[in-house]
Amino acid sequence: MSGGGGGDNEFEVNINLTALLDVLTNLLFFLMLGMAAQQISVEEMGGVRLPSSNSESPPKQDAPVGIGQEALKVEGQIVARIRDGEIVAPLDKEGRVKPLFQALQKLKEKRVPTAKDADVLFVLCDKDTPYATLRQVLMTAAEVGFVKYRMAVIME
Amino acid sequence: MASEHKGPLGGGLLGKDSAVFEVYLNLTPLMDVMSNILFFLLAAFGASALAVVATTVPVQSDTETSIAIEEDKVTVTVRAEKQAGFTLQCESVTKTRDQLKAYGGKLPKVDSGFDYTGLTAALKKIKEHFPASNNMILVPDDDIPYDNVVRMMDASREFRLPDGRKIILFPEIVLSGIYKGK
Repeated sequence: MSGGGGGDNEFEVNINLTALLDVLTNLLFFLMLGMAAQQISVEEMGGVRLPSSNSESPPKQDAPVGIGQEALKVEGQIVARIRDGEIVAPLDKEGRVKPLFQALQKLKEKRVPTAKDADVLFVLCDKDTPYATLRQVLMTAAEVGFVKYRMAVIME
Repeated sequence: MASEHKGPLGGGLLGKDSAVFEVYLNLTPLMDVMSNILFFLLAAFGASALAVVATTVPVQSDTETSIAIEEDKVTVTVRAEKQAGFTLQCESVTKTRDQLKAYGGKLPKVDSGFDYTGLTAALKKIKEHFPASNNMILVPDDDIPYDNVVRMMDASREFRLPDGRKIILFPEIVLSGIYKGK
């Protein structure tokens, strides 16, 4: 920095931007990684193409049930195959999907019964899934004790 | 970028006199680019691409009725048929079917698609008359894709005014056809 004499002052200011650049770089990497992680967690559910919605409720993602084009998953594990939109798995007398019922029972046991979201299930469902298939999954989940659902969608 | 020669200080690598250079990197363009990327990422991250639609299923109970029991409250049932479109029906313990008949009716399909705009308008009319109402029972046909079910829920949840404000219609949607015995 230098100052001129008289009324004509000229200042040459050298701002050290390195610290600011460090902060920005860190933020950038965290945001990029965060976005990538969110993308991956949805893609991992196996060919699930989510519908878009004008809902603005933020997701609270935990132990999702995924209804894809080819497989029905609980916590990332395939419990049944899906063919032409229909679940290929044995049903019990009440019409529940047996392997799904068992997997959800295990999931229910893991949760604290008194917890606020103990009966809430996060569901990722492919947009072309027929309602009958979704109904079958939700009915099975309801029989286990999951009566509230958070259906994942892509924000419009 | 600017460099300043401070004068010789000793022997250099090439056997000549080397010098100490004070280098000022102009980081402004880099900052510009990074700031732009950052703002875009922040905007996208804040909006969060993933959202959720909350729903529930009917639960059998001996003590409570799912039908609205307050004067300014009704429960709307929307039946979605793949061929015929929407059929609306209102129910309330305090009002007769004849009293609520005016708020029900059919909304046929428009251009081979469901009339979501018509559904929102019909629900808005019901909400204006029964402002305390929040509950809607959605009964889609078995072969209706989930994508359409979500759009029905979107059309039922809120109405957007031209200035961007929202009027909440029926945010508590129960997917029916699913039975949970207690």
